[in-house]
Amino acid sequence: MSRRNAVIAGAALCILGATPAAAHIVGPDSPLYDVLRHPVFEPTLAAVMIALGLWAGQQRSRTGWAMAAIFLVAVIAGAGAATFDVLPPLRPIAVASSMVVLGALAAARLQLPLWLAAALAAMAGIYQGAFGTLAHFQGGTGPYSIADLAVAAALLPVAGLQLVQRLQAGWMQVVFRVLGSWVAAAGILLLALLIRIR
Amino acid sequence: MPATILHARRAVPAALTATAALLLLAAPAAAHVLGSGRIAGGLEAGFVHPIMGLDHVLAMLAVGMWGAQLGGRAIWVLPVCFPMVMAFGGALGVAGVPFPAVETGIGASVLILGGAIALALRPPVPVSAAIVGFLALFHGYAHGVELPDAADPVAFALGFVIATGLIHAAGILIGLVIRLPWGVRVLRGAGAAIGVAGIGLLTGLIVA
Repeated sequence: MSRRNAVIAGAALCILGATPAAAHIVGPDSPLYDVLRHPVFEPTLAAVMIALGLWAGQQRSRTGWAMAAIFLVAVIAGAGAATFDVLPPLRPIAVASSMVVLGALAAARLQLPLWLAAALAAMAGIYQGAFGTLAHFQGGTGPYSIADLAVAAALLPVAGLQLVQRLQAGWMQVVFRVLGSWVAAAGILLLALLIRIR
Repeated sequence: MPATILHARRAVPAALTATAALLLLAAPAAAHVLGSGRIAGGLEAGFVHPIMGLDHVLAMLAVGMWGAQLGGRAIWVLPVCFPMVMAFGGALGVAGVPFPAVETGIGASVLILGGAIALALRPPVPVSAAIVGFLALFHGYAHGVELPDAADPVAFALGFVIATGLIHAAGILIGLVIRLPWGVRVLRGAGAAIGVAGIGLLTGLIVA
């Protein structure tokens, strides 16, 4: 068999023998995968965590890391409380407000005292935990929820914090501020939509 | 002729044949088709929304271009200020708060921003931010009134804001032409063209 025929035969075999691609085998039917991807692909949760990370990165190093840690603890506490039906009031509006406040603070690159930054991070975390957990229980994937949220709450803000602290170029800092303003703007629109729905 | 070249010449038709066979028999890829899911649908709808109107696109491009022309802090203050105030205007529109002369304001914003670039106006940054913010209210309100009941409101809002920000970024990139020797004239000329388009929008000669 010539090289040309061998290539054609090989190609034909590949095509005829092809089966449907089976990537994403742990798709929507997998509760573990579903909850793992939820905080990353759920815009509300991801936006708040990213904004918090950006703003934490703009603080003094100690304050930023303290914020990330307190946020993580608060998310776990909020998620834990939600599993026992202890839910803070006005959840969707509070989460949208978190987007506005944290995004605006990142856009303004405002440095606050540790206690105030920590309080804001804790407040946002409790609502994130409750909001995320509730969504999981509604989707029947509750048992994985706390671990899932904890992983996301540990990774996303720290990733944002590290990016801001390591990429010190002037134009990158501008990009981070602009990203913060986008989160805040989306939060303002979301607030308006939520109020209209109510 | 060296053997390697001869070898390569023979291999090319075979590779082409195989490629043609693969292309002809290929089935459409069906992975991650945007627009079918709740979040993707909302994100896509929101992303497309600000791009659909010429008046909005011109004004947002002009914001970025003016920021680049002003330089310094203005290059980020204007693109940070615009989406936040625009979102506030959008909230007014969603809430149904009466707002006067929206379409006139949008046309005027294109004229004012284009004119500012053409005339190379250099007000202090807070003043330019206030101008941009005031004009953003009209754009936001118009979008807010038209906001559909998106599949996912958060994704819609994010898509909407991201598209707006990317048009600003495009404006900034266009504005960076100012760093070239002939760039000042080109940028001012582009500003004049946007201003003329604003006149067209105000007089109804151009329909957005």
